[in-house]
Amino acid sequence: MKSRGSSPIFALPIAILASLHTGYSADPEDLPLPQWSAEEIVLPEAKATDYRSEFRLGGHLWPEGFTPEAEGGVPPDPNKDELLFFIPRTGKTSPIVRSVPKPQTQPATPLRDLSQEVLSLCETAEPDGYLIDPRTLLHEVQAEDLRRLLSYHTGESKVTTYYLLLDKDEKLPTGADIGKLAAGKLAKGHTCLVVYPMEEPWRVRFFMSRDITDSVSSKYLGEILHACVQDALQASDGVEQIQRFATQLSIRLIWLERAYPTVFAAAPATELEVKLGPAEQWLPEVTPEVVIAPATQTFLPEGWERAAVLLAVSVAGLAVGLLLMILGLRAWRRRERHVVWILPEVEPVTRLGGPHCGGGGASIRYS
Amino acid sequence: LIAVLGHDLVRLDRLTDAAHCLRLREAQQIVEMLDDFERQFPQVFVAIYLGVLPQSLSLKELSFWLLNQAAFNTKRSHCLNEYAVALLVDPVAKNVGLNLGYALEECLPVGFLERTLRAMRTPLWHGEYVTAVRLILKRISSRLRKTARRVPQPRDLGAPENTEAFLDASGLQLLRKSSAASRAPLDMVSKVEDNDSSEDAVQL
Repeated sequence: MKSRGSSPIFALPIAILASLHTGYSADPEDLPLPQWSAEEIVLPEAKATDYRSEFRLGGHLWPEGFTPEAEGGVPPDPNKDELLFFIPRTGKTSPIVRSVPKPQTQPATPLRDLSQEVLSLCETAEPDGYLIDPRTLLHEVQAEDLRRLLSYHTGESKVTTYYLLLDKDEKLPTGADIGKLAAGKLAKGHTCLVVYPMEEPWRVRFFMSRDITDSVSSKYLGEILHACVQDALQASDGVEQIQRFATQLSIRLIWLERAYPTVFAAAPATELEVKLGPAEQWLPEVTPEVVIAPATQTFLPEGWERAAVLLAVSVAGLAVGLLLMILGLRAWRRRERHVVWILPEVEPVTRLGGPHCGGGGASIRYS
Repeated sequence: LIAVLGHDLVRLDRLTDAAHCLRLREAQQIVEMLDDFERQFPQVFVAIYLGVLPQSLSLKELSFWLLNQAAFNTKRSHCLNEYAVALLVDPVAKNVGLNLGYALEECLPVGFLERTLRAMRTPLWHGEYVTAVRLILKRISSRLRKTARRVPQPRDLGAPENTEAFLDASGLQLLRKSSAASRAPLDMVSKVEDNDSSEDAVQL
């Protein structure tokens, strides 16, 4: 700075360039920008009954072909999930060519019930949070990300979502009172509880408020759960799976809310009313009609699985054949030990003028 | 040959290491192989002689003389030299010879013997006598099986019917015949015990 201030030789060109720059930017008519007329600037007006032309935050994310009619609306087609293009994809979530999912009837490890101590912790831990994870199965940063997402979802949707995290070999006990979870906040308003086993999203249990399950078809709710699980299975990492699950569920719940507006319209009167009775009455479980199962991950190109199976069977057959051959050879050798070989009797021949026994033969030098 | 080696009958073991080429373990391995061979072919035996020969004596001459003048100590005493295979090795002159009894000439022709000896050259050159003997026994066994008759042996051995059958099958050999006098006291003792005569027992 001292040298610049002390040399007037550089000050003059800089001042000239600065004046040219400010003069150029001061005139907006000279900028190479497109010009719009006043008619083009007018945005389309939103209509309460026309869902297609309604302008909403986030763009026209409504699925193609979705024209709900009050309560009997047609659910969105899961095969046309244009919204999935907006979900950030990382390198871990590269699409995997999957075969037909096979139902997993038996878990890899026997499942154990969630202990009463943990359940009591879940009832008291984090009364203001939407993520019930007293044992910190999720790390702090990941849990905070999920909490932010759930908080944002609660602000955007009328359905409050709670997540109870289980370990991969745990399950919810049969007689567990889920109404006491999250300090009893599940009983207020439209709520949904997701009992999520880490790294095993196909075992998710999904509970929704009775007023929603009574009004919305169980098929639609089952498809919501199915879509969330399938999206979670696109990732291999357990943390990313739950992130994808939560994102997809948030989107689907917003769809649900817009597809059935009458269900959520009369909420304010009963929103703060605490429901009484067993939790099964006011928070029933949603059971999907479609069997949700983890897809068998394969790293082989499509069509090579049959060849791999044939190769494995061939190798196993060869191994078994080789083993049988070795066993047979050993048995044959064991049996041959008890065999005696008898040479034919030969009459002695008189040679060299006398009774000799042997002679002739061969000899070599081996050096 | 008779003038050099004489015409006396001699006795020789199946394995004779006059040149001291074998260690004890190797000698035991060779003896085991010879036993196994004789068990498979009860009529045939193999005699091995490792020794340094004088220049005036060839392997063929010595093997011929041994087959006609020597009695080999085999497992079975009734083996005839017509069914003998004599393997002679001179480790100093690096010569090896194979000679047969006349009963084996048709089974083991000279061409086969020469091929077998040529196959033994490498292990013999390395001083691996056990390997060489294993090789020759394997080749001779496979060759003899082509002409021999297969007789399976019963695995379960039945108990002898009486003591005489046991003595016959036990392999016990009588060294000398027992005299009548040596058997008399036993007879007398039995008589004394029967008659309960204490005086005769005192005299005895």
